[in-house]
Amino acid sequence: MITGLYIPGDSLLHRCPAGVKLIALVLIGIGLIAIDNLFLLCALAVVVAASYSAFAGLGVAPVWQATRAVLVWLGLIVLAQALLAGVEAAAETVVRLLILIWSAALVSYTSRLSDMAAVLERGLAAFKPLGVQPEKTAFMIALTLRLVPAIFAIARDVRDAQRARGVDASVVTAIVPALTRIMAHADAVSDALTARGYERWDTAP
Amino acid sequence: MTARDTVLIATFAALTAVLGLLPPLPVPLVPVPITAQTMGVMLAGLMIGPRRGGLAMLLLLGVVALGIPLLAGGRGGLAVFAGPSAGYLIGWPIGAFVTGMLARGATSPAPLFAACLAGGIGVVYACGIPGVALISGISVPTAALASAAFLPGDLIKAGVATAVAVTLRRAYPRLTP
Repeated sequence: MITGLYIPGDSLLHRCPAGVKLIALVLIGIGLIAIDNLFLLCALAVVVAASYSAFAGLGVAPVWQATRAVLVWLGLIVLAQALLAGVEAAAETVVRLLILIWSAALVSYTSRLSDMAAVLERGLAAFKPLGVQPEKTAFMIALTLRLVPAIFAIARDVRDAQRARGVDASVVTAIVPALTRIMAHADAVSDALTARGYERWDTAP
Repeated sequence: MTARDTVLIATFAALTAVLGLLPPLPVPLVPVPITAQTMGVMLAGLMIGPRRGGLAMLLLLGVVALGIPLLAGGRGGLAVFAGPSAGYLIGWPIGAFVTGMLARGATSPAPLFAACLAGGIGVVYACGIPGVALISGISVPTAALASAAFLPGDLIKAGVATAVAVTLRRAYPRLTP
């Protein structure tokens, strides 16, 4: 089963509507372009990191989790920037990046998948005249989430079968038989959808 | 969009996610571990065509943005679109589309491999390198130099994707986009 980044809770940020948090995130992103004072940026970074504990009740572990994902990049930036543009420019870039990443991760940690999907569906409704179908998009998201464990299981089955026959199971030798079964699985699912009248969903209100 | 289109798009989005879950392959002389995930970009273009392949990558990015960590290394959420590698991610749907366009009607390995090189590597790097430069504040040539570390792994993936596409089109003729 796949689990999202959402960490359950009942804090101020957990109760704040996902749409509001997303708009705030966009505003932070735009605002950051205008700030080029290193002291102010550092203060902002501290505020964002502190709000994990103060407004979301998450503590410091998620801050580190969000940072770890970009640690290699941060190292590269410091290396390249410090050599070419000086230490201050390097610090400014890194702090600005951290503020943005921490804020974005904070939205993901405090918003349920269903709430985020609801915002997306509402946003997509604006593109209906262009032929976008918000209901079908929501269905495809759900289908993808279901297919990830299904495909993972197929890949594992194929590898196990090859091992049992004494074949050295590498990614390359496993991928063709696995894909053949994945395509057959896709055919079965689409036949099932057609049988349930998927094509006529267009006319639903 | 038919039921089959819908399922194929979701299938290749999920397949690309699963490729990222597989343990990374160590490649000699390359310091960064190579995940199979970007092979999904090439496979989507080759196997289900430009439109569905591009939509599959867009769908995967959408699911990731909603907060599901489906990118290699368990990364996900909105933060990945704020990080330095955001440009590469934006390159995925475009790359899959271009791979699919170039691979249209091709059945022999050479043009399929060329399509992977142009779409899966060329387009993705063309989006990713300026993204790294912009977000990290380093120059484009420096960013390009850093990205060269991924090139050997990506060339191997293009080769594997081509071999898989050739074999699979023979094993599963109904698929040809």
